[in-house]
Amino acid sequence: MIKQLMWMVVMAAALGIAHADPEFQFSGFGTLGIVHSNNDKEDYASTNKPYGAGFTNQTDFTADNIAAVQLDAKLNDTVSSTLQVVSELNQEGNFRPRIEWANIKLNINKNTFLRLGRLGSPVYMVSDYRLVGYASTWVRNPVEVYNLIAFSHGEGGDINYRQSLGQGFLALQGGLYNAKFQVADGRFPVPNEGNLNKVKLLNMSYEQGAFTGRIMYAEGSLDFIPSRLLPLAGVLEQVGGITEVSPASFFALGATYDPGPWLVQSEYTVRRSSHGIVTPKQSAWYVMGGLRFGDLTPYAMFARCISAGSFTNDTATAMENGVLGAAYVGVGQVINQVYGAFNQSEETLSLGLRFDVMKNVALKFQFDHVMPETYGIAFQTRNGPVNSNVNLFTAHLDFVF
Amino acid sequence: MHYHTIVLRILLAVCSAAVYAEPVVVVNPKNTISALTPEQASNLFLKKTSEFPGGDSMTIAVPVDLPAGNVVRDEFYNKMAKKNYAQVKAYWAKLLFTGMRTPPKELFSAEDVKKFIATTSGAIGYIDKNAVDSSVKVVQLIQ
Repeated sequence: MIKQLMWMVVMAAALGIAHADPEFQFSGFGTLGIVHSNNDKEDYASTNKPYGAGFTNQTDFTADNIAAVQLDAKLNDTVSSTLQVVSELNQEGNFRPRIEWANIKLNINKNTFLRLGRLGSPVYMVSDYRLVGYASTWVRNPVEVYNLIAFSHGEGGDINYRQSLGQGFLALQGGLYNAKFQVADGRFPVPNEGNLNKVKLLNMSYEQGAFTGRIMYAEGSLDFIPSRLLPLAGVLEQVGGITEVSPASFFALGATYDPGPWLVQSEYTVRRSSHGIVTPKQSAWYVMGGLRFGDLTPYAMFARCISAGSFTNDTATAMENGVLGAAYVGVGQVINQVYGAFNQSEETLSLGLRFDVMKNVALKFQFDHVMPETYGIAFQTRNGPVNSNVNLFTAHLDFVF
Repeated sequence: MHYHTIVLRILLAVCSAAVYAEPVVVVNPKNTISALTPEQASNLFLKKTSEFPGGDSMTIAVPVDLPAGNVVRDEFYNKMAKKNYAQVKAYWAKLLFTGMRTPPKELFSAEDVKKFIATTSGAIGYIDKNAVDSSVKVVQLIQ
């Protein structure tokens, strides 16, 4: 199915070349980044990276780098296609380019279009352009929120509708797709693989002037066991801690207000799954605000992730889910002690500056004070809990062409 | 001509280009639209809508831009959308790299904008007030 869709896109592109009057647009974006951590025991791995600044290298020159190119082909007023290839540090620890987008867009009427192929998964407000550093004020998407979902694209389709309403515009998006994902684990050379299938997504946004608000709900069936739990899989299965496939959902609420001289942006997200022992319920939010002085945008941000994966604190959920409640809690406590990685609660306070240094190039500096409760969500822990606050200094050069 | 007169003329020309760039919104003379608010104008140029407010709903708006770095362009977006070049570019980066919408086509000069508008019924552009002629219709800006 996936390969067929890919071929459809390739065919469409080939048709485009053969077509009498196609319009092509070539563009790209990228980031060069340096990150320094004051902690040399654990890696700050930001969003699903196998390593980062800290244990591997206290000053890291690789983990934040991205290069991407995109080809848009407009065959006529109805049919167009997008192909985007991205190279960034992946979960296997290399920079092998991957196809991030490969889809055909069909304009049904001036309000509605349909897309088929490999699509971005718009679970977050900035999901669609989360790799495009230039498009954002900050250096990196707040990890506490953006690390809850491990995948960025899926194979399937979506339908998009846009209509003026009052003084503004209402946009609706309904998607149906399957997603494969990898979760980097610093202690294992091979990343955990998982699937989230039959994802049904509904996204609604409203923009008027400087205001944009959006609400999103997605659900699907999750098939995932972290590799560090595989030795315990048998026990977990018996007490109902692991099921082959279980329903999972994600809810997100977000808003931005950007009148020009200043801007604010905030999101609140909740992830749930019925096999809470492996993928605990997590809620997370951030608030970011900035001021604009010509080419300079100083900003501040606070982000928080609340993990309900600590079994001692979440007995009620375990009782609800587990066939053998007490045993479940017992196993959960052992897992907590031995493997520990479930309490991902973390807060980060960030201060930064974006400098639009020249056309299409932004230079950014950010200081982060990361406060993991134990293991945190942004770290690849190799030596047990982080258990201390970590300071990060980041410089990024973002560009688009 | 005296030397200082020439210098004065050059200075005047430079100043009028740099300081007195006065962008006006122009459309095809057959377009029924006659006035826009800054927000309505920026909605069209940022492609938030392709419908002319209160206009003929069959006419699809086709906005065109002047090149990056053009003084009239910068002044236009500052005035209409309260966005500088980088903010407009970041806005388009968000939409372009999601395959959602592509930015307006860039035309090289006011002459090219006028030529394009004269031959495209839904075209809308902006040029310096001094470049206006009968091939295009000026849209009044209302608050």
